[in-house]
Amino acid sequence: MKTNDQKSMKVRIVFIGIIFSVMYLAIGVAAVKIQIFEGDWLSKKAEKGHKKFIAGSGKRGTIYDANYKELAVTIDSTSIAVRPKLIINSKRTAVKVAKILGLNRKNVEKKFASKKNFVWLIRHATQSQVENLKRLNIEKGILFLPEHRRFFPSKELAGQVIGFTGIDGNGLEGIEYLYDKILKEKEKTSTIFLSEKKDLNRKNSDDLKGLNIVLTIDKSVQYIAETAIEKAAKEFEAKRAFVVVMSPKTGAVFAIAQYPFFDPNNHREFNSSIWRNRAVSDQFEPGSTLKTFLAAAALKSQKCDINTIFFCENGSYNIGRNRIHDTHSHGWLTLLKIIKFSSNIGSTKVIEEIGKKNYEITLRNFGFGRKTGIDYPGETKGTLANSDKWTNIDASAISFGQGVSVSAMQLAAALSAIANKGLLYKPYILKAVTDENGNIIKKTEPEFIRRVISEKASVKLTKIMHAVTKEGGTGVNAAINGYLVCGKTGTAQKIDKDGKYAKNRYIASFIGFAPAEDPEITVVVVVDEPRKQHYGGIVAAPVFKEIVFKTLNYLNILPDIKVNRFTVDAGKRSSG
Amino acid sequence: MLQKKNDKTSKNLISIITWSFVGVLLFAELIVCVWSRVQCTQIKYAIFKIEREYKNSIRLQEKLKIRLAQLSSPKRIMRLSKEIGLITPNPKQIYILK
Repeated sequence: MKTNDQKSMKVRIVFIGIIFSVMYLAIGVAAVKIQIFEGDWLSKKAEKGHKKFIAGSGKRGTIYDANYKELAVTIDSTSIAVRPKLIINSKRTAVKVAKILGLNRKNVEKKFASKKNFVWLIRHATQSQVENLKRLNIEKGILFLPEHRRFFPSKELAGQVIGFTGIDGNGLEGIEYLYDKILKEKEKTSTIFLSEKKDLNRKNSDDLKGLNIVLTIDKSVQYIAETAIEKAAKEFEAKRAFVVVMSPKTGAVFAIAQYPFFDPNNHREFNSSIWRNRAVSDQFEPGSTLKTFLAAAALKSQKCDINTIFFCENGSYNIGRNRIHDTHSHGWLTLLKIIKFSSNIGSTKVIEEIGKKNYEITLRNFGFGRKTGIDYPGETKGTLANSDKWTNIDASAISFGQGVSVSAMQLAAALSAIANKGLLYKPYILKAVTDENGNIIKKTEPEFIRRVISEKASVKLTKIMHAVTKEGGTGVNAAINGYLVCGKTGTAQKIDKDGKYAKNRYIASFIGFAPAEDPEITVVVVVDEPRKQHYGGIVAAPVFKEIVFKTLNYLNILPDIKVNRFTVDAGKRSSG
Repeated sequence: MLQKKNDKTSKNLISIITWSFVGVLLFAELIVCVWSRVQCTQIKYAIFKIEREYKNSIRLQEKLKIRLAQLSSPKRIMRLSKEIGLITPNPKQIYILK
């Protein structure tokens, strides 16, 4: 009996065991199916409910000046949006919200009445707007979304160089536009849990950062140039004015100043014509500043030297049916004095001596008629016709800088070649790219283009250009006590809409470098349509003087004064 | 018979000790496990707090950098220098420190 019971029990146990085994097997099979074969599909299905994938760009990188001082940074800001369906008592709320945000009440009402799920109220609201709106305690419907905004701490300083970004952080102008990809970094997709939705944007953006860029622009030199150009533009009631300051030895651009200024923080408040960096993108007739390169062509041709004399026809000279004049009448002048007194007739005689082709080749070698290749958007290549097409009067006009167009950047680069012993370098603005920890990822090396003139010729040209700033020269207002400076004045008539030269619209300019012995800076000053005076020597030369004096002082380049100086030994007593 | 009884008692004692030891061990393991879990959670909170502090510090640093940039702007420095009567020196006024 006991044995039967035991047998029956065993059968039952086996039976239950089999049932359990089958169940476990079924569970195992189901688990394998779910985990292995349907795992991805199920995961995705689950994620849809709990996670959200957000594509967004990170914090835009910082733009620094040459000394790592911030020119453009990205700051946190809050944008306010509305979920219209969740707004209770929309008309009353709209009145309050419109008042706080300074918006049109009807527009806010329209947004509140929208059938959309999401409507922007205001992008990049101020801190006080956000705080006041939060005080209303409208829990439902109003969204405060953290965003990023570009901020330019120096306001209008170098505004045209840096440019600005749009409301979504895309570079629209200047350096911001050109290096948008570097600054912005590629968009990345972030995964967030819905429970963290409040921190959604902050979480997204903190993880992503664009690269920083370091410019060759020096904030202090930029300020010096802007102050000087503003003063001159206001004094002579000019339409606009711009300056380029460059290192002749490397092509690094220290400053590009342009008046009127604009503040990139509020760029929409300024006329769009002010946004453009005219020193790079605009061409103009350079006037007599081009005589410097005529002298270079003359020396290069070896058909004349600085003491070669030319008859300047006592102030009036006929070329076919046309007659050209000098401001002051001159008889026989050396090449040096033709440049010093800026004789148009003398220049014509020089080009007649050296030939049109020689002049054209020299101008093209200096980089006129083609882009300098500077890393800046919208560069003009200027206008320089083929010398085969020049008539005699064209050749004469081009010899003194009319009938040819250049940009201020081209002038600065070409002049730098003279200052740099005849070696032409490509101008550049980007000094380096760094990561968020300041490690240099990319560094710009000065790019040598070609030798334009011999070292000997550059020394002679330096002598000629220095003579311009000495007594009797047209650029005497550029002379600085303590520094030997070289320069050339320019006064060009502007062309009217009908294609003829206007009688009272001029471009006054001055190009030069200093110190003459070992040039550290090249400066190009262009004043567009000054009203009170129009001569480059009166309007632009003092700007050059102020910029050079203050910049050399800033760069700790000592003046060369032939006087007994006090020399103070830091470790001993002073003597002198 | 007595010997057998003694052996059985001895075996029981060993068994009790063994089981007690296993029990204590399991209990200790449980305590350690719970403790480590608690520590882990606390450390996670601490890390989260430090991360938040770090991020706040970075934000503060960025704000201070901007403020520094504003305060050290050439325009402001020039205005302040003019207020206290500083000017760019005349070349003759420059003394060279050796």
